[in-house]
Amino acid sequence: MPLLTGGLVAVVGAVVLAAAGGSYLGSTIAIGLGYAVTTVGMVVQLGYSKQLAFSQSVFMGVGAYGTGILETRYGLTSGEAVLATIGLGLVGSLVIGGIVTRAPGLALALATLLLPLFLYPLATFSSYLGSFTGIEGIAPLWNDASYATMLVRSGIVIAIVLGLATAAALRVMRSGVGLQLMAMSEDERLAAGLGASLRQRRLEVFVFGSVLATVGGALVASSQGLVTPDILAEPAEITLLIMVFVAGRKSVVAAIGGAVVIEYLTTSSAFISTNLTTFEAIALVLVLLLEPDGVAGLVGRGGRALRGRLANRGAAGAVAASDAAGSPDAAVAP
Amino acid sequence: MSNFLNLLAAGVTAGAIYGVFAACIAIWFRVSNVLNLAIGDFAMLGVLGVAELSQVDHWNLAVSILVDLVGVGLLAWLFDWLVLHFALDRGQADHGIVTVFFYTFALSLGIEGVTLAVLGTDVRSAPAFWNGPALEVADFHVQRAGLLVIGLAIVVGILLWTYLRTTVSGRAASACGESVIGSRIVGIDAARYRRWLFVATAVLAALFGIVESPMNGFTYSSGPTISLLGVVAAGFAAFRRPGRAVVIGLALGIAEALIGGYVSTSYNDVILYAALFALIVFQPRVLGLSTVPT
Amino acid sequence: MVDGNAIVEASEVSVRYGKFLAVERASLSLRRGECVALIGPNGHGKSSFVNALCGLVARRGEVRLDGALVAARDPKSALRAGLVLVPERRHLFPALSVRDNVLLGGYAKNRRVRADRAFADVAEVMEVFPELAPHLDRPAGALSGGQQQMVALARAMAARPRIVVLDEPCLGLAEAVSRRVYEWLTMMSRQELTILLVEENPVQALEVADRAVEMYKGVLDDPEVVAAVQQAEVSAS
Repeated sequence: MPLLTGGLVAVVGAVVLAAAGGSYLGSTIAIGLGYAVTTVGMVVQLGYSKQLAFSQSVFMGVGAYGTGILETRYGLTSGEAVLATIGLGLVGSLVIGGIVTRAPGLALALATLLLPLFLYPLATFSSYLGSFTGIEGIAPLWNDASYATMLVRSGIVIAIVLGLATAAALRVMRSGVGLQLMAMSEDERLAAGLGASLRQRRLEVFVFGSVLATVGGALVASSQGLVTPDILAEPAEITLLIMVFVAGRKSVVAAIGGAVVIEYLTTSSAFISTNLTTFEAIALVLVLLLEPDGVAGLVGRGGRALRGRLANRGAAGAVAASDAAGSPDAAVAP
Repeated sequence: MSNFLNLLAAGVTAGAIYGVFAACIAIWFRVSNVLNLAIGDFAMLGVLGVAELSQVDHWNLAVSILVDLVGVGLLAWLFDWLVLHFALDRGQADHGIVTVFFYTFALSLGIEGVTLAVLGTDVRSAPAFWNGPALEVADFHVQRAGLLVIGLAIVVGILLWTYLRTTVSGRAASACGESVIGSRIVGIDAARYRRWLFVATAVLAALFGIVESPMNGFTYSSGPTISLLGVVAAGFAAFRRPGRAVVIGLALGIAEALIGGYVSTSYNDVILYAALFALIVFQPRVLGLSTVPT
Repeated sequence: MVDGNAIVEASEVSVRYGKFLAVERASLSLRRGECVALIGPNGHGKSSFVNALCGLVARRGEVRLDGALVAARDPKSALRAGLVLVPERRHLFPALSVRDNVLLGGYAKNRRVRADRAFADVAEVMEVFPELAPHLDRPAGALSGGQQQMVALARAMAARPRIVVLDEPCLGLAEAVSRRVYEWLTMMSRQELTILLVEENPVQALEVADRAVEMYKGVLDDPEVVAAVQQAEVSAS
């Protein structure tokens, strides 16, 4: 089932990008899918495991800057740079995660909230990282003489990576480890009593979310052709959180939709992009008040209500049929 | 020596700002177990509102400030009534992360978005209460607005301490965040405390922003950074000790100024916040978070 | 039916949690100075019933104290009338000191005065609990379960109640502490305080109670249910 869903995500993404051709819309969707790789990881980390870590934009920065530096300073190809960056993200998240996941609950939140406060000025003042303007000239994932072909093929690569990320996230959530993570999210002491290794699981979740964020950052930088320090600032994390929490923090598919839709809205029209923050705020409040699990929760609730109504109608039909047949037992059967 | 004293004065001024915002966050968290991530936006609204009324519409300064503060208080009251009351007082489920962070985060976004649409992106300040050049004693310089900031921080600190330490109402406010059921059993209206302290801290943040704005200009996006610095200082005070939050805020401001003066002007934030990060992850006990529900 | 000597009159009280009916049309009168035990198995609506009496959960039906109606879902209304609850699991304020916990018991009367004066106003309550004297400035959450139960009782007495409702006051406590709680109960019932004692254990409750009522499946003293339960107990023994 995870593989099937992941495959479906990849195919739908690829078809949409192919249909969009080399248009501006196609480019926007490709960037949105890059963000979606990060938001898929956030579903596992923040939504499913309730790990209070706000470091995803920082790891996106690691991915984006890593790809940019390896390509422009060390001459690696786009694919090599992305792969090397994933390795960098893995090692980095293991090192940082090994330290930060020692801090429990709100302490972890505070520690990760501090990261942008010193990494953003570091990137801004560091000439190695390109100072205020960042790093330009990052190559796309699939180079081609034709801009449109390059855009479509690079986009399809991103869709395939997103499909793999989706499958991995669903696999984690539906495994025994996922069950332990859910138990930990409800009550850590109880989960420990049931045999879950809290530190190990915390670290695994942190690494999973961070590596996907690194991949997302690398893909977005490749799509945009540049990286700036803004990716490390607080607003970048805020955008990611809105993508996940409005769409549905516990649904992988919703998080993908949230990333693509918000990325699209950011560039769709001057009016929307100017007032996007206000719309996001209203959407966030309404969604959280009506259903803390976001739009996906609302859809799920609507679906359950509809199924319940259909089931009742079916039962009523069965009762009517059994009454007609004169069977008193059938009338009290559930 | 004079260089050190000047840096110290600058640090105390910046620290007083951090401290007051941190205290506002801590006292409200103490009552509601919710982080007020919109506290910086209330300050920004205070400054831009007074700047607009007094400098563009040419209202009298005192009237501008009064109208502005009433407006900020009303906004906070409405948000509590329309959103927090609905989310926290009627909901049966404890939504954890959503409750702690996201309602006030949404408010912050909303204020920022509307301010951008209405007032644009200009950097503005409220008129100074105490005009004139920096005060000088030998080589020691201190800005007049800085002195007002420090004075106001001291008054706020004393008032908060008196309220929490010496009144039954202050004890009741603390009890609200400890046990909702326990407070209902003894007749404490936790929702009422949450609402009025939310309004009071919003107005206080706005007033503080107005007083300090001649030193630091404000724009529509100034709020989140102020809130984040406040959260960091409040975090080192277990999120619920306003007195300690003021002290931590002061310490942060002084450390920032001294690092800027003696180590690196560009990298002072990098060094300070990296050090705080290391402190949290290697010694999380310094936060004293054991009693904070997570 | 109105009892002229009744201080509490609960009539037709129902409590519902969504689709689940926890208490069904329960009626109960308490006479002045009486100690009544509300017994019954776990999960059959005892706590829901007393929470409804004290205005902590939504209810249907009427609750009157000395003839005056106590508003539903309004604990302050019950407190003003002198009805005070010592809840199951105590619900103290763990980070606040014992002193603060006790003085907040009198919050409804003292909320506008200074904290030291409010504590002086309720200080005589502490004479009944001398074991708490050395711990006045310690956080309540740092005390033992038995000491915390004493704090909960002291907090209730600080409200100067006319009726005290105790919900499972000995749950999870050691034998010696339970005895101490019952000593206090006996002393209070001698002082003409009206007491409603919720207990799962009828033997213990009947040591101090003047009478007992039973709640089974949300129904209070339904003769048919009582007979069925008694029949089941006889068969089991």
